[in-house]
Amino acid sequence: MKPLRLMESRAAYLCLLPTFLFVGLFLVYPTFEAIRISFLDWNLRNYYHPEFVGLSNYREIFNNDVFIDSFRVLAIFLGWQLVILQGISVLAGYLIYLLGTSRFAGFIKVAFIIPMVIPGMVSTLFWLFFYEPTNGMLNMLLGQLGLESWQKVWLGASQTTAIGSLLMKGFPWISGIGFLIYLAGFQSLDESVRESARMDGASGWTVFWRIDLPLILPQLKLTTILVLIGGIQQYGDQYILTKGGPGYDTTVPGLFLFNNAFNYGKLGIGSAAGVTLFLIIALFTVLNLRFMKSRT
Amino acid sequence: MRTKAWSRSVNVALLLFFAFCTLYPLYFMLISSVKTNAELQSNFFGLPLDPQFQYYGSSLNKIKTYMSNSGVISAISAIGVLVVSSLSAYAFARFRFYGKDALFFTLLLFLMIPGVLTIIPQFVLVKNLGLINTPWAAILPYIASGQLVTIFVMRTFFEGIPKELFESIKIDGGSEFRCFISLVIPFALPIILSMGLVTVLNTWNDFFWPLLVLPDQQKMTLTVGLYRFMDQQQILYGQVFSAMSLASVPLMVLFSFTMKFFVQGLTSGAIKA
Repeated sequence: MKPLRLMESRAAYLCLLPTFLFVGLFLVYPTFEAIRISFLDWNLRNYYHPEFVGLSNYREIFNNDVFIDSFRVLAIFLGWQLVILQGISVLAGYLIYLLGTSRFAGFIKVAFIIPMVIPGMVSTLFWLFFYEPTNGMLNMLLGQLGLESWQKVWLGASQTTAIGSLLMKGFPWISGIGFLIYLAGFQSLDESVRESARMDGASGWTVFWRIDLPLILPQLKLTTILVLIGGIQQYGDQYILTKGGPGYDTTVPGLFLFNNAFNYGKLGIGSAAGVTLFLIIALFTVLNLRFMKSRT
Repeated sequence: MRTKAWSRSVNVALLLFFAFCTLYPLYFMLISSVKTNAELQSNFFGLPLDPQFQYYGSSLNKIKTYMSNSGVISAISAIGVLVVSSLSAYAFARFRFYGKDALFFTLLLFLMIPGVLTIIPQFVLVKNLGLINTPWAAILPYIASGQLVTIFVMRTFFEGIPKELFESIKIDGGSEFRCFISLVIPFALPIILSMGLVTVLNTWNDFFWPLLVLPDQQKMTLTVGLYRFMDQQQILYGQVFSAMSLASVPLMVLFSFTMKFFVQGLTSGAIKA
């Protein structure tokens, strides 16, 4: 029996070898490297002779107003994503669910799925065009409505318009997997439960809050943590639409990291920001695991 | 009964409004792709009066290299992810070995390493390996990070295959390899396909990594190429919009044939992982 078990183990390790080679080289090694680099003064001038400087990079970023403010900006984007974007996905999933299986429901579903297969860059560039000051769609629309005085350089006029424009990008934001997940959740409910609630005189509103919404709570929790973890790292829209501006008004931590590392060549500073973000994400993950455990 | 009809029409109106807002950008992109700059300004929202189809030819000329670069990277990454993760998932689902739970838990931990932490050292690593401006600079890290979720989804799926089927192959003298090839792969084909499609979508859409590791004009991926297109000083809008439309075609075609698998892959990945 024993040699057989050994054979089985050997076969298993052989199967796992590629996975662990990839993970080791491209995930684990870089993780330790990131921590090491964060203690180095490493930039373009001394690229071949980086210098150990202890915590000095961390001291520098925590005294850097751009870095500190970037978290305030990030909080706005995260709050928006968690409340508005999630809310719209739940709403869309619920509305489609209420339609039952009609051809119209099928059409609407397809309409919301199509944008998912459009490259993200294509839709981001569309929104860049949408806000463009001279030929952009928003100013053009305002012009045709006779509202010339409302026209603005949306992405550059002020922090308010720039952040507002970034938040509105992608309206109505349904092109995610979110609404499919919620729709599947709503559909999994036994119809008789809802019927009997109706018989007892519950309104549609009550049925939604008391029966349907609690039903998708597991999905909601999962997407919340995914949105948080993804959102903390996100900086694509800011990079492409506003480049973090005007000034540093729309700079989020991820963009601070990217610019420092790859535009200013400050690899140590960038890594210190990366480790900081990692610790925040880890904290959220642990809190989330605790929270999920205590509830079940 | 009247309130029910009323709430249904509000529902339908809201969904129609959302659908309109979702699809209008695509419609606008298509009608603007054949307009000159002058016509875009004079006839902004209307259908093109004098369609300039030659924009499609010239933009295709410019982006075809980017497209084939992206195609090669996405295809090899997806195949790589599937091969590597199906092996691991098979080991976790079928074999008993020392340290099995510990190794699986370790993989779970790796899933939590965020991209912002590794982007700088990964770049230094890829640079030191001399991979900059080769497709491998993108493919290898894509396989490394894409395999993890796939392993979890596949493991659950492989475990659901009835044990009796394995035993009947074993009794006929088939090897473990035989089980993998002629039982597990055909059985799990839908999930394999859908995880492959998810990988294609993710790699095709990635922007920052190829921006860093494939800066050469000849090696650039589609997302980066499109971005550079819009970044120019003198923008020919018709050409930009036709390039954007063309860039959407490959995935549209791929996914219109495989939508069922794709949706299944996305939702099962999100729920089970």
